[in-house]
Amino acid sequence: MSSCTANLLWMSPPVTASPTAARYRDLDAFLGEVERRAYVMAELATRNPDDALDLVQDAMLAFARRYGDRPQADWAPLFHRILQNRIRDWARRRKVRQRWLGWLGGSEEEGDPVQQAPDPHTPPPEQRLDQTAAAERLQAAVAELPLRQQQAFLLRVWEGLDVADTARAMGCSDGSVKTHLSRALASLRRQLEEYRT
Amino acid sequence: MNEPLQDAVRDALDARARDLDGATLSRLRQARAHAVAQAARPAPWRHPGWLGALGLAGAALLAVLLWPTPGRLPAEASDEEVLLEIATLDVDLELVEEPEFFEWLGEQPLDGSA
Repeated sequence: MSSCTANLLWMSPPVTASPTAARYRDLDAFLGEVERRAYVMAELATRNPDDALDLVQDAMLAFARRYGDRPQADWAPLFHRILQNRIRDWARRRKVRQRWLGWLGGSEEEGDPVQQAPDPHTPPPEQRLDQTAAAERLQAAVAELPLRQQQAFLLRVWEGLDVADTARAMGCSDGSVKTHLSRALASLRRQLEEYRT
Repeated sequence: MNEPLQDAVRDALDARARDLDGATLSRLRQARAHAVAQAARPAPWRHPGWLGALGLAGAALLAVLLWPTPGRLPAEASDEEVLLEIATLDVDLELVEEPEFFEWLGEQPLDGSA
């Protein structure tokens, strides 16, 4: 503990294991538990690490500010609702940007050579292990799903939310969740037929 | 929901989340710490403006009372140091009113490994 913190604690009344401090610990633990998966979800949707980090950071901040004092049982669906809303907003903004770029006669990819350059850290295909290639193919298949199908799949299958919480997180009905999930699974099965066999 | 395809995708995504690079993990940790600090900030609707003004007035009065003057006992120097340290601390002043936040902060490892 730094001397500054020690001095501030000295000035305060004794607060050993106060409920509020326990809440910060719980909040920190919850965010620590979901942050990696949240980042991967955002990265699959955006395919851009910086955008993904911005979205997760934004979602964490909004969640902590608005819902940090809500019952912990509500945290997961609330956090995912915020994150999925942020991802949807990002997708809308990107669509508008691409439309404008289309009218102007260019494309986002053409304008950004860095996005097109091969990743220097990626080994040549022949050097990759089969297992790694299969994992990458699976991730790519999820990344290629339409956004709503991707959200339904990730929240239900990976995050383990039930249909009702997934619907809350996605801001749609239970029926829509089932439809999106069913289409996502059908699409993944088609794409990964080779993997299954 | 236990068909092999879903298990395989789940495993692939788990591996991706597990193997995130250090720079990404560091930024996620920073984002988390910032979010928890924001949760400690009192919401405006729970923290009327006059309370803040009263707190500032109290702090000013305390500062005047404890201001260094010739002939003070050396034992009082520690209070002045504390006030000086608070005054130069790079934190949101609203958080100084939230001792529980500093209690949580004090429990965090100094090497940022949380």
